[in-house]
Amino acid sequence: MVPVLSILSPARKGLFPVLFLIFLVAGCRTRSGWHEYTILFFDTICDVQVFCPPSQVAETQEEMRRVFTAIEAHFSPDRSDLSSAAVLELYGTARRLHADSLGYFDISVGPLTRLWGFQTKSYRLPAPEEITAALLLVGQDAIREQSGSLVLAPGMRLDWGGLAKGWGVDLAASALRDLGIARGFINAGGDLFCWGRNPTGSAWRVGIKHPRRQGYLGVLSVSGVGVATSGDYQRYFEKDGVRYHHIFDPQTGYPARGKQSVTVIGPETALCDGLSTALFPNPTPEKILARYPDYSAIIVDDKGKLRVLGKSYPLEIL
Amino acid sequence: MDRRDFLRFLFASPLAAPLLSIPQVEEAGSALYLIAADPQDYLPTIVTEMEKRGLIQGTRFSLREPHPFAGELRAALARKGWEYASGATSTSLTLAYQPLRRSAPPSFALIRHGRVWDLRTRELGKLWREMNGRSSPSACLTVASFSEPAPLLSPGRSAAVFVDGKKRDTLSLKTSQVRRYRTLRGEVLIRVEGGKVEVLASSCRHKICQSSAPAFLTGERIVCAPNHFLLAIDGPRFVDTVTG
Repeated sequence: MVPVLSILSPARKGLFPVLFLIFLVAGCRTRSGWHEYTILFFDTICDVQVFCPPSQVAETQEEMRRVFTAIEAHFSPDRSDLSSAAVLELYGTARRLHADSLGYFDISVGPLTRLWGFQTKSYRLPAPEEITAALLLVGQDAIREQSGSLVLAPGMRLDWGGLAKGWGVDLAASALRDLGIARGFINAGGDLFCWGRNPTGSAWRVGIKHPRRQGYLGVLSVSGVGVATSGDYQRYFEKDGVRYHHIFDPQTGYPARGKQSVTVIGPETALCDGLSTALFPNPTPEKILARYPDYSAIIVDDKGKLRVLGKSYPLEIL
Repeated sequence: MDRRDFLRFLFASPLAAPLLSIPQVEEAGSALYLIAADPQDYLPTIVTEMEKRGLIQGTRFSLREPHPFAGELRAALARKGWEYASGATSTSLTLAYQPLRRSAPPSFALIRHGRVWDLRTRELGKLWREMNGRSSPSACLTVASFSEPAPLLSPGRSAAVFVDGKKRDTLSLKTSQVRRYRTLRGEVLIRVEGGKVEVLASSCRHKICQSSAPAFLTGERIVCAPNHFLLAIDGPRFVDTVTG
């Protein structure tokens, strides 16, 4: 056999190693690997881990920022323009959750969030008459859709906190997959979506925080799903030994009792986010979940007892 | 049966030797061998003592094979707060039944990592005496396999410093140091000492970052949102990401 180099001219012989090096360097530069970064979104830390070439990382960051900036602009608590397509679309989801949860999911709890000081972090225990007054401004049924816009009764305030972050994660994950990212996760303060395989080639191992101690109560092994948790330990204050947290029962105006945490797993992070908020105050969560057959809920009640409802996802209880 | 006799019986007897190679014992971190005709009277007390010593984590148990006292064991453990789960679900306690070919006096022993652990605290010493005084010899051997408490949170190796979403530094937690970081909105002063990292001072308004406890476990964070500043502990990971 004639050696390959022997049939090349001397000039070409010199060129060959150079070309080889160029290809090698180019190959190294474009070889996919795991990249992690963190951005701030809705005042929470958003972790991102993606498998892509180094040259694509900046593009994914740009896409994440684009999506999250838009979500923040449309759904911040003081937003007065309720006519955007994004607002109307997410309101459709809110309306469905409100109906399916018999009113336990309600985006109009803004006056309660404000009254209890959760919006400004100036926490206070309101007087019963203040709560009664605030409840007059709560009720999603009072929201009207008119001429392509939501119309609120005077004094009403929307709180998209139980839905918008999850939706942002869904949109961002979709945008990254459109960029060709086949493996990764986006985790915005516990609302997350993961897809493809993890760095070890397995399903993503998602730890569920224990509501009362350091560590996890269980570990999910999942992919292609969203996960969200609502817990009484996330934002709360204590007064006279009583814990007052940020998940309100829209029917009483007080923080919901009976559960420590609710984690929901399913195809859409927005619905996981909304369902975890809806199931928290509801005394019969299984009835709500029956309407969402692709979703599962891991519920820790106020005694610390764990229940798993709905569709079965691989879960290791610790 | 004397404790030493029981162990000799357990390891030397060809009848009991197969017990040491049954899969559920190998998988588990430790295994309790209990010879008693009425295991439901003793097992909950032993399990409670192991919980106190941190040898068991979790509240779910399962039964691998049919056990003659399955119903009684389930009820007795339920009274202590244990929840029965089917074999398909992960549990921290698995009970198995192995009949002995000949009866032996009541006894128990804990084997952990191939070593015998002394469970004769005051409470279990009393139990030991009670067993020998009350129960008759039995061929009922109950093997209780305990999964090890998983190392859920391990100490981290380094602290990653992010400013405005960009990684600015990676600081080893082994090296004591004080660092000052300028941010777009002010500055943050941090200290690494004794394997932990903390915020000493910050230009932010509410100083939440400054009042955060020092971080040292993998995955722990200290955030200063106004300064867009984040400290994240890196190290061996038990999970990929966390919800909650």
